[in-house]
Amino acid sequence: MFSPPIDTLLIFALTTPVIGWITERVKKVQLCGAYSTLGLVISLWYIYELFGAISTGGSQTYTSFFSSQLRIDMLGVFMATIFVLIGIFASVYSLRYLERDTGIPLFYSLLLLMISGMVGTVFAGDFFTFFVFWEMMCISSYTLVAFRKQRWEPIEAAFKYLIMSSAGSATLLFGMSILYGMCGTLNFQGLALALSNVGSSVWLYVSAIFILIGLGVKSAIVPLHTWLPDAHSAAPSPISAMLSGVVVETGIYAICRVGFTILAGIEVQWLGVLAILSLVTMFVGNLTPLLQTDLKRLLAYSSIGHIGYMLAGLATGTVLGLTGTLMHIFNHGIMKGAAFLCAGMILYRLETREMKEMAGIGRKMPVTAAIFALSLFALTGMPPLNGFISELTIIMATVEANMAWLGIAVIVNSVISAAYYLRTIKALLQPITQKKVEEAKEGPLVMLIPLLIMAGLIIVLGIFPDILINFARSAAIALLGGG
Amino acid sequence: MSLTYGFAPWLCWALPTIGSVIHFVLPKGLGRARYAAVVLFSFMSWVMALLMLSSIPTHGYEELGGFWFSLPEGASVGIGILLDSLSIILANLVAFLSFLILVYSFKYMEGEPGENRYWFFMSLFIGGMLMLILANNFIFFFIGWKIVGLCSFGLIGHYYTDDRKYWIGGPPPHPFQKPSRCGLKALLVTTFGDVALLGGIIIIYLYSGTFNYVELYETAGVWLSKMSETPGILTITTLLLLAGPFAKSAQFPFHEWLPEAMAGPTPVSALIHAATMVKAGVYFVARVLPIFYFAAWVATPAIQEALVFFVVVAAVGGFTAFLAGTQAMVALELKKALAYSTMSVIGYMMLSLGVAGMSPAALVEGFTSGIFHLINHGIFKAALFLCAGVLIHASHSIYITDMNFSSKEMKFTWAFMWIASLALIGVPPLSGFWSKDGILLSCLESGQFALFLLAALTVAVTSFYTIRFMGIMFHKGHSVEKAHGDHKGEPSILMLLPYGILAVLTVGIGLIGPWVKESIQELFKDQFYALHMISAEHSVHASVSPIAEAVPIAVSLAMIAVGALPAYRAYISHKLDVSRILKRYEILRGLHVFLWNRWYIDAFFNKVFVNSVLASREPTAKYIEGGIDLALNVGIPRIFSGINNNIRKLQTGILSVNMLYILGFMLILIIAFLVLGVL
Repeated sequence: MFSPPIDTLLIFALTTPVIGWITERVKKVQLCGAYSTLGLVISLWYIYELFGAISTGGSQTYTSFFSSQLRIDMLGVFMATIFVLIGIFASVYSLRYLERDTGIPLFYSLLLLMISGMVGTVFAGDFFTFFVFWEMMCISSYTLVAFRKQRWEPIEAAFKYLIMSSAGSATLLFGMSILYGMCGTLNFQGLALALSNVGSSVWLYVSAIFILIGLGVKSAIVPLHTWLPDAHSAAPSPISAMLSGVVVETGIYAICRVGFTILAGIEVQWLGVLAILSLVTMFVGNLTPLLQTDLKRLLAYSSIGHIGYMLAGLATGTVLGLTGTLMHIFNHGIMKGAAFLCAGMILYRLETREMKEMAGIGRKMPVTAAIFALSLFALTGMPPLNGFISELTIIMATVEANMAWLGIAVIVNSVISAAYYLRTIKALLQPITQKKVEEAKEGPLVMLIPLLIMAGLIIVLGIFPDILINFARSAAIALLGGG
Repeated sequence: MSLTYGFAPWLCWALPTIGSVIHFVLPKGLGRARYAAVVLFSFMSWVMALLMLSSIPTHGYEELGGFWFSLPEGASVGIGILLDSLSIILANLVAFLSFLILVYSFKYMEGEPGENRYWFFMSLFIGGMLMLILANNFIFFFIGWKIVGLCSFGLIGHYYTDDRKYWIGGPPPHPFQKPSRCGLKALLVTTFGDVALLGGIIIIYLYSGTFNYVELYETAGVWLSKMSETPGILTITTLLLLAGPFAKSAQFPFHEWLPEAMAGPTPVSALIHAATMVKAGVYFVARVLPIFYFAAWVATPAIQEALVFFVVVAAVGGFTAFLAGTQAMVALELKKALAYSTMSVIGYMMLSLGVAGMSPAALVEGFTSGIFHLINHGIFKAALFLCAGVLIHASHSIYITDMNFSSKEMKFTWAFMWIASLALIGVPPLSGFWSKDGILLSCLESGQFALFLLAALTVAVTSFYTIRFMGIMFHKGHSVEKAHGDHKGEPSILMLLPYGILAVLTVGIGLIGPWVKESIQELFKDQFYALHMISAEHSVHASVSPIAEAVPIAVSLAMIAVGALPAYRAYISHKLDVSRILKRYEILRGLHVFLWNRWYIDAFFNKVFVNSVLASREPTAKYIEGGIDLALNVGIPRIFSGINNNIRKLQTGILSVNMLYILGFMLILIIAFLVLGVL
């Protein structure tokens, strides 16, 4: 139907409520989570098979309902891998994390829908399919943010997210319709072909502006980022990990795809715009959390900073820059995912996000704290961890593209960000002041397993970056063509 | 993966590395059996080394590649292994000695504080040492090199609580040193060398574009000639490269850390400071020696500057051999005497490697003797240290003057220690004799008569101090006091066996000495041809006339007698009263003080490096640090918190404001597109 990985995810998403209904009757709701994890693993396997097929036979095309078209190339596979991978981590983690909540089948169903939406977005071969899957991802993510509906904060955050993101979707749709009006097709390749004949016109710019706004809201480019700190901190932690680690990056993917295929004619202009936006985004993202005391908000802001780095790589418009951006998407997914899951672990034990109240938690939860510190070091860009490699690649790409000022900005921002990351680590190590902390103990094993794997990846991808570099490079080449 | 070797070389260094954490993983309930597991890993590593041994003769060299990452300019750095005669022989030596020493420690360390830490560092050390020996490139080598250095820091400062009973130095009124300071000193001195070494490696990389040994050997002609175009570069590289091994192997002027490194537990002294770590420097010199030899003798046109390498190595080696030997003549602490002797013997090895490159005639003889001496010394010095550990435990004192043992009570220990001591002196037919003779011979072959004389003089010095400490400990003459009666008698079999095996080996290798040397020599010749492109014409092994060959033997025997006789009369048969002689001759008294104070080198370093740093402390704090501190720690945070407070106002949390931002963003985009030249 929509290529094996998406089909698997959709089938599992639709059958999870049934399984959930049964497992709730026999008081074994966790089985439902295990079931959907299985779906994700199978999907990852199919993505791996697709990878094999694409690396030998080039991009794959699938056609489905309403003549929607999927065109899967290396870039799509690259993005899908990280989506499903982080999805698996979040899903395993949620087995214990959500044990006190109700409606767990719904949660897993939505999680699977969100991931299938993301995978569909990156596999889409035309704007229509793209938009349908895009909205599928957005709508399930609103619901997931508001999953703990008994409290006001998630509801408010989800509502803000809904309004802003809908406004973004509307402008995106508007931009798309202008393109359709110009070219009479929504197929990406068709659009690219048609536009290269038409050349640039005012309408193309108008459409570009609307599309950039639409995608910019999702990818939290400053000043469209204001929904993000609320939504990411109010969501359940596995969902925060998903949102920060991969959902936001879907927007970056979309900018790449639309920018380099459809808007190739006005590349110089929008790359310039992106460079400026990148600068603003990274500075705002890293300066705002300096004195933040809410742990998850701090991490959410830091995501904005990292979006800035990714945009910097994009703004170079070269294969190296895109390679850096894609690597950073992958690495950031793992690092930020791990950081949010660790924050979630502390939240699970202490029920607080306030950093003052978790002083000294590292003494009571040493494994969690060690992984947390590791992921924060990686986020800072400390060698030999994976964040260093991708940030270095981005910086090298900016220098190569004669935009060294942007690379310097990335370095400066790394330094600034170190201030609040280190402050967080300091909070973990301070003397214990709260009684709650004194009584805390290490998190459950089920939640630690994904964290340990992520920590392993952070180190391994830092020391042996070549596999990831080659994967990201082939994805970048798939988009830009040539070497 | 080559079938000949299989996984043996990888497991060889990986096993002890894994073993270093095994006792943390095993359940606490197992008690000390956990440490036995560490010993087992070391044993398996030795077995792996033995497996490699079987394949030396049929292969010139073999590289087992492993890719790690590549540098921007294209040079790749791999976790690769180079197997040739040198690395396989040394890996066997290290793995074997380490295993025996770990067996000994199992009993020795029973009940000592911080045992977990001890086993972790020991096993990690062994892994690092094997890593640096087996590595096929400078980077992987350097990682092992640093692991070894850091572990040695941890082990020297093992008793970091600095309890009074762990102090070394003295006796009063002479100052004492605390273990933690000794560890720090070792780390500082060796790190200084390491940094220089890294600098040398980088310079070589800049010219050659590779870190890989085999590539370096193969392209030596190209990059060396490029390097020699700028006079001086090769000399600087040489000096930088040599600082590393000199510091690691405690050679002048970086030798001052080793005597104080004796603050660690005795097995540590045996493992690190006699058998293995200090040999790492010798290994490195042997590893890069062919490159410089190639430059000086094989390359056309010959690069004269490369000879600096050999001159420095030989001169420093010869001088250190003498310097340290004389200091051992007055040492009162048993382990310190052994430490000085270690420095002295390593000086011999360096000397041997140095003269090897001074004349093509001496290459094979010098290289072989150096490595042969390394093997022999590793074995007998480890035996000596292990015996020393037993004696120190039994007498509760680190001073030889407090020790009063009789050969009857500790028959085996006494015999084993004498065997090892005689090997150290170089008495035929023990192993030390053959290699020392080879070194003297190669000095003659290369025509370095001054160095020959220095080495010969050191033979006398060696035999004096060895007989002195043995005599004072075992042959006091007057009846044995029963003060520490409980502890007399042979130690546990687990401790006795390791040094027993080593002593037997010393005799065994000695008996077949010429044959062993011959076979090592053949191996190295093959290696030179296969790996280093140094062919037979370039290493003339002049057939020395029997008379010339007899000269070093005769000299060496004569010098042994020169040193041994007074020592025997003074310390064993007690015909001479040393204190009376000292009283009579002013000059001897002066000499004693001079030697006791280690030629004042340590005092000089302390004055220049330590005191000057301390003196600059206050002005720095007052004039420099204060201002920087104010600017960095008060100024910058203030700026950022100001920015932060303003920028946070962006995040209003009001939805309608957020929606306005979207409009604002649209405006920004329009302006940006306009500015970037649309219309």
